[in-house]
Amino acid sequence: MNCESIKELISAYIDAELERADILRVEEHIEKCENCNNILKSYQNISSRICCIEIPKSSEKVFKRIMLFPRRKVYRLRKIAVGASLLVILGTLFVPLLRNEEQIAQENPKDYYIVKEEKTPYSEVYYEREGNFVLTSYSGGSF
Amino acid sequence: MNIEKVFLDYNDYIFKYIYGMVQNRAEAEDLLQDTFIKVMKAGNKDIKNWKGYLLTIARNTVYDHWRKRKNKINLDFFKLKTKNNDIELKLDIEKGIKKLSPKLKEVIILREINRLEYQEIADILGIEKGTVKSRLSRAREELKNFLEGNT
Repeated sequence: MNCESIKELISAYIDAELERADILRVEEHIEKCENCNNILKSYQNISSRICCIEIPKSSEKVFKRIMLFPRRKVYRLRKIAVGASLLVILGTLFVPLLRNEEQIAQENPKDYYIVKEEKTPYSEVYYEREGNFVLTSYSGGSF
Repeated sequence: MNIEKVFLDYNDYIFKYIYGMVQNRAEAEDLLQDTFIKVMKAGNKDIKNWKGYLLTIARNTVYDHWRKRKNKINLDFFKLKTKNNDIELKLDIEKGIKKLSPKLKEVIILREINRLEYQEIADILGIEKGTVKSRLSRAREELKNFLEGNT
């Protein structure tokens, strides 16, 4: 039984993390070997000294600051913001489809009537729908 | 999850770890705050092992803090305050812990201050139980050498 292999075990021995067989090995060795016995004692001494370290308590203000940290509200608002911006993005994608007035006018001629027709130099056709004038077709000369 | 309850139940325990790692009260308080804000942001409800979960987050917070500080080391040069840190460390053993490398420091703190078992430490650090055992052995050896050299 050499000291080097026991040294590794001494630390685990004081932490009560050894198997029964290893505990016996350490105890048997320590009885005979003064050097390893001293190591054990100094490790135990270190342990108790670390336990004596006075660790301050965190001050009340940390708790207050954490409690004041904006929580759910922020995240709910953020969710709403994300939802809204998604709607806007999707909306702009669908607007051209919805706004194709000419198509709608052709499909439902009764909803529209021609209010203005210019023949020179180009022909433009305007429709009125719910009070809005909409240019729906254009043909003729170049600009 | 009620963060208030979690904080009241565990803040002492987590503060011990953080304080042990940075050994400065003001710094440790800031890091404690960051840790709990991270926990709030993550908003995980089904935590079975709060101790382990909080320690893991506290550990990441401490390491992030060190990484950031390393990046602005030139700024620290102008801060005379950092020189006074050692005043807080009254005992030799505290100075000895401060001298340990982060790897050895954290095993000794998790073991001696947070009173965790080897397996729990291994889980938090993501290492083998055997590695915890050997790191602790090395940490104690270095502390022993430091204390003997000091007296």
